[in-house]
Amino acid sequence: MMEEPLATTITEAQDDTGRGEGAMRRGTQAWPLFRNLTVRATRQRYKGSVLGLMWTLVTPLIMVGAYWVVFKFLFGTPIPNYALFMFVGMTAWAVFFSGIQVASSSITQNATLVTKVRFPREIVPFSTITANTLTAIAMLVIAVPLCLIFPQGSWVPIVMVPLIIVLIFGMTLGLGLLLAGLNVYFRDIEHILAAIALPWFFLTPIFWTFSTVQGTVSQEWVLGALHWGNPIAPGTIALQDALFWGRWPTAGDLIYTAVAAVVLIGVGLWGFRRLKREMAVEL
Amino acid sequence: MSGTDLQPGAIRMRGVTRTFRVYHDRNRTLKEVLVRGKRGEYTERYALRDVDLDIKPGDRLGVVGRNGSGKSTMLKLIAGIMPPQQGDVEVRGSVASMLELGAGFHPDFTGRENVYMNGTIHGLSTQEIDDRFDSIVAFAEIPEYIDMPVRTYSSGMQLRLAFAVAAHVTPDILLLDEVLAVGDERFQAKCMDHIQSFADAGGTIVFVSHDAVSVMKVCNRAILLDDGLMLADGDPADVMPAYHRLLAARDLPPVDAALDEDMPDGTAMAEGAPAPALDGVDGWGDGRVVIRRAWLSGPDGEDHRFVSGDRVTLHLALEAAEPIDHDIVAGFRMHLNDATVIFETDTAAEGLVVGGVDGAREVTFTIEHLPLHIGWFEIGVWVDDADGHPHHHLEPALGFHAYPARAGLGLVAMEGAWDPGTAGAGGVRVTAVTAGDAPAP
Repeated sequence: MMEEPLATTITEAQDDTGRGEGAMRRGTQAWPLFRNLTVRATRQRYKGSVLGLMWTLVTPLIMVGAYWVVFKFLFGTPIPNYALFMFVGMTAWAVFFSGIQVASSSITQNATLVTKVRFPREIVPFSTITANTLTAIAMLVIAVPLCLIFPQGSWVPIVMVPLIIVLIFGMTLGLGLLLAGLNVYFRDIEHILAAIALPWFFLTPIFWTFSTVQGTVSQEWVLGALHWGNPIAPGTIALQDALFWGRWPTAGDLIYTAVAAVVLIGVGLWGFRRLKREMAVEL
Repeated sequence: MSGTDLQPGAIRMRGVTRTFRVYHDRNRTLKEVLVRGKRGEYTERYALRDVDLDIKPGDRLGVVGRNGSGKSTMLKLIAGIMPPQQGDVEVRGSVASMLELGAGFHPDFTGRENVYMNGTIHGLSTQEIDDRFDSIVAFAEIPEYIDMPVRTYSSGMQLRLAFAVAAHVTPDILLLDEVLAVGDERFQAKCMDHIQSFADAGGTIVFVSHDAVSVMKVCNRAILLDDGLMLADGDPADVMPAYHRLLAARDLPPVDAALDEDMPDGTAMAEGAPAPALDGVDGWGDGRVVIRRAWLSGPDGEDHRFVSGDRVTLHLALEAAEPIDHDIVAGFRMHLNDATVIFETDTAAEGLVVGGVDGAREVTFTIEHLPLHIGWFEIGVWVDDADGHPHHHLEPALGFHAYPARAGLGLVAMEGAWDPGTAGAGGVRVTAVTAGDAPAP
């Protein structure tokens, strides 16, 4: 347990599981395991379903259709190419939120592995998050050509898209790692995540923008809080800027996301390191 | 690890202590913890206490002990799955653990895909798995199913495939945890062969078991754990008797509970109760005489654990509600739990005239030297009238463990000694001398 002081002589070299990493030792190799787990997580997700990987696209497209009816048709949002706009925002959301969601239950779902085999436990959330990101990138394969066909600005800022995705991916890794570790000890983390998914989605500028909010929001601080208080909001806006609006993302959004990624990875690695020690016992 | 002087295949434990928290009422959700402010009441239990152990390369170490004695914890510490709270565990060389048998098998993926996944978990590279793939499939004996999803496999096939992968890892140290029960007997023999050849090649084996027979088969050294402490360390032939004494000393739940004290007094034979339904008593018969209680006693009094050679007495406490003046016949049958009869006899067969029962009566049968070696044996008892009309039959009435007094395997303790002869022109002739009725030690 995390608060437990370890009255031991466990040395630095004993890493996660309290044993020396002898030069002669050949345990489970991290990289092939990561690769295999990632491939498996990707394939497992849609294995046995007729549409297969197409589900990655079908689900957000259905949502886009529904939101389009509500916000374009009923509320008359001024955002042009509204369906495409939402789709771009959902890509960022799919990388981030689906990532932390699958990560949070990854260790508990691979309990047999964790309780039986010695390997760096980080691999499990890493591989599920990577697999999730790869499927989310399939959405970009649709979004990028459409944004080129229906440009709102310049094509050039699209070069920023890979960087933005990497930064969001980094945030997801950090937070996902922490949640995966915590979920071993508190099994309701994954349920809490499921419960806050929808409200969080609504509070993220995916089907609305800060420049087109209509309502009666006169207080700047509310907008500020929505923008900077939500870790995924600046990254989402940056992606929309670069891909949909065809303009350079603001330095503020990029720096915020980069700092968030570094901080979350740091916190995630640190927290997971503390949590993983007793994981095999707890599972 | 810096400055280690260990050889590959060696394991060293120094002052290793590992505890567990046993939660009385565990809070496993964040909600509960936030509401109650703690993770629940717990008591700390020792799995291992201050254990020092040196395992040399090529050792075949058996770890025995009762359930909860710390055996599995030791294996998990060596496997590096959990850390000790205190002390050091140093392991040199590669470790393959049969703990991981089938770890990471996913039912929706084919045998082939799972072999690669499982092989990766065992630390094989893709190239190495490629090279060994055909051999793995051949070992598992499932070539026609290898491209089918594992969920279509029988559990035996899954285990065979899992063992086949594990058998193709060439570690310095092999950790075994009661896995020898894989598949049918022929496959078990194959697994034993594999383990034997691994041992012959100089590999280190750590084998956790509570089965004395397997340990004697596999190991050249054994340690006995109890309550986290290492009680004995040495030749299996020396450690096993200590293990058996420990088992015998412990008060485990009696197996003859069916007839034990908890029988409601006086209710058993309500007058005029219709036979053969014996109210409150197991078994069948007309109930005119009942076996109120059947038990075994040995050198230490009533027991159900005996060492080969012990003087063992079977007691039958008979009771008759109304005086019986005709001759009764008491008998018993000792058998294995598959009903193979070891020995059966009754008073009439011995030409004994027992007489009747007035109130209570105890009949005993004494075995001077228990001729059984290792195993679990059951006993059925009965009392009839002289014409074979059943008063009360109980089957099985009780059971007992026999533990060996010396080396060797099997059900029956055969007294005897080897005479290795002398190496002459005709080669070596080895003779086993079995004494007909030699007294036990």
